[in-house]
Amino acid sequence: MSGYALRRVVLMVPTLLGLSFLAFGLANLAPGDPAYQYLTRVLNQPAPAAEVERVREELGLDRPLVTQYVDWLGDALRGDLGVSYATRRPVATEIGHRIPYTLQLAIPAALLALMIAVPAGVVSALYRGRLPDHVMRVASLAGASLPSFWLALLLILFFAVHLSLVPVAGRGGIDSYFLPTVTLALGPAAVLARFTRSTMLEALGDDYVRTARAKGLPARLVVARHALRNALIPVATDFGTRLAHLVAGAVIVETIFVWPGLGKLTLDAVTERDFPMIQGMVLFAGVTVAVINLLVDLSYTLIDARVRVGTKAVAA
Amino acid sequence: MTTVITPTQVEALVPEAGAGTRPRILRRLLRDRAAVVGLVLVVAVVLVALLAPWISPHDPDAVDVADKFAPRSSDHLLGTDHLGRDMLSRLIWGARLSVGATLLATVGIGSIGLLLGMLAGWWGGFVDGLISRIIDLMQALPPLLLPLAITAILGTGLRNVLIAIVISSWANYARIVRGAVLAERSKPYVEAARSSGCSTARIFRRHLLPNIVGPVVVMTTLELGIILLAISGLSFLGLGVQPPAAEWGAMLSEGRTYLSRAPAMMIYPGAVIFVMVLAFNLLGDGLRDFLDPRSRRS
Repeated sequence: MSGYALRRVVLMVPTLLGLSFLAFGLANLAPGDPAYQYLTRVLNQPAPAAEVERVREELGLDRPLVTQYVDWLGDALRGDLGVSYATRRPVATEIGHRIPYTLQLAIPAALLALMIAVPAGVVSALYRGRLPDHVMRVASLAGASLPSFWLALLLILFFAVHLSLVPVAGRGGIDSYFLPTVTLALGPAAVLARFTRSTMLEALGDDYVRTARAKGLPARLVVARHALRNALIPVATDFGTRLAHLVAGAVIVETIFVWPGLGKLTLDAVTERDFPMIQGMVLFAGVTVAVINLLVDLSYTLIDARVRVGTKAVAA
Repeated sequence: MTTVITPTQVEALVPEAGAGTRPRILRRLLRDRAAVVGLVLVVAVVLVALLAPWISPHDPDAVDVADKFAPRSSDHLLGTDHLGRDMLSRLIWGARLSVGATLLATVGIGSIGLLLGMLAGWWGGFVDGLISRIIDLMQALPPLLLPLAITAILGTGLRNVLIAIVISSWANYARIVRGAVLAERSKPYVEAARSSGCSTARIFRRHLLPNIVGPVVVMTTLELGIILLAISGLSFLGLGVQPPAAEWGAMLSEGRTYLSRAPAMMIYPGAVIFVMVLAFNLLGDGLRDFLDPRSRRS
């Protein structure tokens, strides 16, 4: 177990290194002279050339790129992601400040998606080719095709404008969570349901399920104990990635619902061309995805003995 | 066997994917009702886009403030928007921009993905390692983040958004192509072609490409829906096509402002995007069942 965990952590290093190149590169590909850009933002007017030179030295932008990268990476590892052009506050503080708001939507949405998707996928697989299966396939295809920005506006129109049940936007009482959570959950639910259906069909055709049936186990137990348990393993991987994407901030949904989370922060940074902030968000999102995937992979060792055994066989 | 076999003769022995099987695939596809619906919708929208100048009842940009928020009528079949522009005409011209941009981006993504995927799958080793790591990295990021970051660098506008989407979306494509090439590479027909003196370029073109065309066609069809969502989503956020241009995402964004006064301004463009994405997905799903029996996942 610990050997597997260690190997899995080591495997993350190239991805994280690549991520750091990408994030560093993005800010350096930005057009214009960063020293000039920075000073112009601070002064709120075109910066004089002499001042620009002074700031360039002050920010260390006159040094070779490699030195800049190493310093930047060292700072980033210590949690210093630079200062936002727009708010002139540390990027890490701004991101940290928004995380709770995004989590408040991401976690309920992910759970809701799972609660819809797994039963729908299982029922669909059990009734393969019959009415419930057809309904589920059409519904999931439609759900996966629905633009989130349109769904959000339709929900607002119906539940907030016509029925006045919930607020149109903004983060307030518990009722303000309803629409954004549903909007966020629908897409992942549709995709996960289809995925659950196909892994479940695969599991139902496997030998151990036939054995379980042959020895006279009630159908309910065969499905719950044998088929479902194995079918859910690949689903968990997919769920992990989708959860990670939600945790990184849903740009469109947070923008529509004026939710003060990471997605809104990202869009504001893009419209204001706040490159340190964009860089910080790319780094944060990438690390989040990597860490959540790691946790999901490690959790397999708890639910799936084959992973443990497989590791030992490889190591031997 | 002492007879010398020339590359062309070998090729004659190799079953070329496509050639004889295509009519049969089409016939079977036509039996899948969902796929037929998808196909009909896609063809219809493409025709509408091509014929926009002739079938559009009004000039999509003609402002008539006196006639704003007009309800449905025989003159304005879907009514008018906040500037009195005919909505049906804007949707028709919007098909040109939205679907045209989607096709353009998909061609770009397909070319890069095909090239890098084939390189990685064929050469293996360092090239494969490098390309695969880049694919991993790009797939690890949330879907809209990289396009947004690149748009921030390039600036807003349709052209820049298309570049941003192409740069950030080829990874999934390359991954599928790489897998398909890896699966085909060691098969006897490739060995046969190589040992009979085919150049690598010729093997790619004449043997590998026809044999991975199934997964690639499926992938492309499904990708079209994803790209349409991305383009209209970025336009909706105000980064892509800028108003007053008639593009579905930008129209939806304008409609959002008048949500309670004129919900139709939001409902129509959204419905059109939804139906179009659904059509691509229905078609892609149907195609997958015939062309790509290996990947029945997702």
